[in-house]
Order: sequence, then structure tokens, then C-alpha cells
Amino acid sequence: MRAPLAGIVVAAAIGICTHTHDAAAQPTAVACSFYEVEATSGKTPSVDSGIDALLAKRLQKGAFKQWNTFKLLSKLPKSLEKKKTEKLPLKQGGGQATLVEIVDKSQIRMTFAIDDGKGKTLASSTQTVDAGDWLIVVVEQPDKGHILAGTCK
Amino acid sequence: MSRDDIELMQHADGELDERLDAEVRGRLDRDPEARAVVDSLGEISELVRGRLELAGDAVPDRRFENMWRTIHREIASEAPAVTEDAPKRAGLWGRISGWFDRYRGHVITGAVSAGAVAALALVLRPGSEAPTAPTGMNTPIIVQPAAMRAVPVIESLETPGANAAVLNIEDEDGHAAVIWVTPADTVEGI
Repeated sequence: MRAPLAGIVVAAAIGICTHTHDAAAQPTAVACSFYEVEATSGKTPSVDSGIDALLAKRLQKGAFKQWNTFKLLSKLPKSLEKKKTEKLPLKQGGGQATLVEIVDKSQIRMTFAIDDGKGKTLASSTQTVDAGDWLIVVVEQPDKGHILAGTCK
Repeated sequence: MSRDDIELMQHADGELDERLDAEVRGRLDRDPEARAVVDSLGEISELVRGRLELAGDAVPDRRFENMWRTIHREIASEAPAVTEDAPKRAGLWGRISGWFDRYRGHVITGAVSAGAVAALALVLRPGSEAPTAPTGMNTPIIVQPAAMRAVPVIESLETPGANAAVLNIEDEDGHAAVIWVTPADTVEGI
């Protein structure tokens, strides 16, 4: 009679330990949103309503003030899996992002690259940002800016 | 044995359905030979039943008493013997261990139930799912409050043929790392 009871106790303990182990595991993927924006200067300031509110707020600060019109070119929701490069098809050129690793369950280490669509890399970087924070790459062009911004969580 | 005989036997045993039973009863009214067969079957049944009852009565009561005595003795021999050191365990520890001895089954059952409930609670607790988690994301990433987030770190940056600057915009909503790329031809143009 005791053997089956002991078996049940051990099974319950294994179940709890397994669940605890899962909870301690590092995430292996993140959900990201990328926004391609064209920044220009116009007579009437405008920010495309499709641009994320937090991003729109940042686009009106500091060096971005040289422009007052922000038009959303494309919005790309992407799931990034560890070590798997995701291409970002842009209206102007292209980009790619790779999740390198999750640090301390809350920080995202990733590589990010943007090109001109003709094979020339404009910028490529590796950075670590907290989940929910933003990475914004601005490629300045005559009279306008090409912006690729992303946030992951 | 004909089919009619079988039906007569089934009638005697009460095994026929209503329609067939009515047919057999009609036949019994008409056929004295069939009635005689059914009567004999009834007599044979009575004889067998009486014989079995007599055989049961033939077992002497003393034999039953012996059987019960044997059963009681077997039960008593399996019960834990009350030893002489039982009074010595009357201390606090003795009483505790005695309680566990008596209720071991309840304690184990309680522990198992608590373990099972705890496991279910852990598995089914609200918030354990990440509704927006992408495929393959077995553990959701932790989004820290904005005030607790670290400054973004740009570990490497390449901007072939262009100048680059790195900025950090920090506000109440967190951080935004800005990589500002100015192609050389744009600078020259300016």
C-alpha cells in the first residue's frame, strides 16, 4: 500500500520540479514590432497615426526636430527566434534582425542591419536593450530621413 | 429433444417471452402429454432444490463455529501486538510518534493531496501564459518597469562609407537607442 503512495508523492514532486525548471528557463524568442518611417519637413506638421505612440513621442525630440512630418512606410510585426535571422522587407531598401540571446530574462541582445536595397550595408550593429525599449536607426538623406525603429518584448 | 420440448422447458423455467409463453400455455390446454411433461419438470426442480437444502442443513453448527473461530484468530494475529514498552512512550515525542503511527495513512494522503493541488496551482495559475508570445517562446521575457531599465548598450557598429553617432533618449517611458547614420555623400552635399 505504501509503495503506490510513495510513487504518487514522487510523481507530484517531479511535476513541481519540472514546472519550476521550466519557469527558470530563459526565453528563446521575442515578439518585435518594426516601423519604417520617412521623415521630411512640411508646412503642416503631421505624424502618421499608424506609428506607435511611444515612437511618435520620441520622433519629436532632439535631433528629430529638424523634421516635422513622419509618414509610416511599413509596419512589420516579427517574431525573432534565437540565432535565426529575420529579413525585414522595407519600402526603401531592406533590413534584417537576429536575436542573439536573452540576458537575465529581460534584456535582448540582437544584431540589426539596414541596407540600401542594392547590396550596400548602410548600418549594422549589435546591441543589448531592455525589453520594451526602442532601437532607432536613422539614415539621413538629402532633405529627409529614413528611419527604421523596433521594439521587442 | 424437439423444439417443442425445449419451449416446454423454457416455459417451466419462465424464460419465454410473452408471445411464445402464450402459445405454450394454449398448447398445454390442448395437449395433455405436454402438460404432463411440464408437471414432471416442475417435480424434478422441486426435488433438486429440496436435496440442496437438506445438504446445507447437514453441515453441523459446530463446524461453522470452528470456521468463525479460525477467522477471528487469523485477524488477531495480524494486528500489531501491544508491547510492554507502550507506557514508556507516554512522553511528548512518544505521543507524537504514536499519533503518526495511528494516522500515517491520513498524513500521507494529505501530503499527496497537497502536492497534487500545489502542482495544479503552479501549472494553472493565471498569467502563466503569454498570449502574445511567438511560436517557440516557452518562457515569456520579463518587461521591467521603465524606471528599472538599463541604458542600451551598443556593442558594435559599422556604417561603411558613412559617419555615425549614437544617442540615448531617456524619458518616463524608458530608453531609445538612436543610431544616426549620415552617409559621406550627404555630408559632402551639405
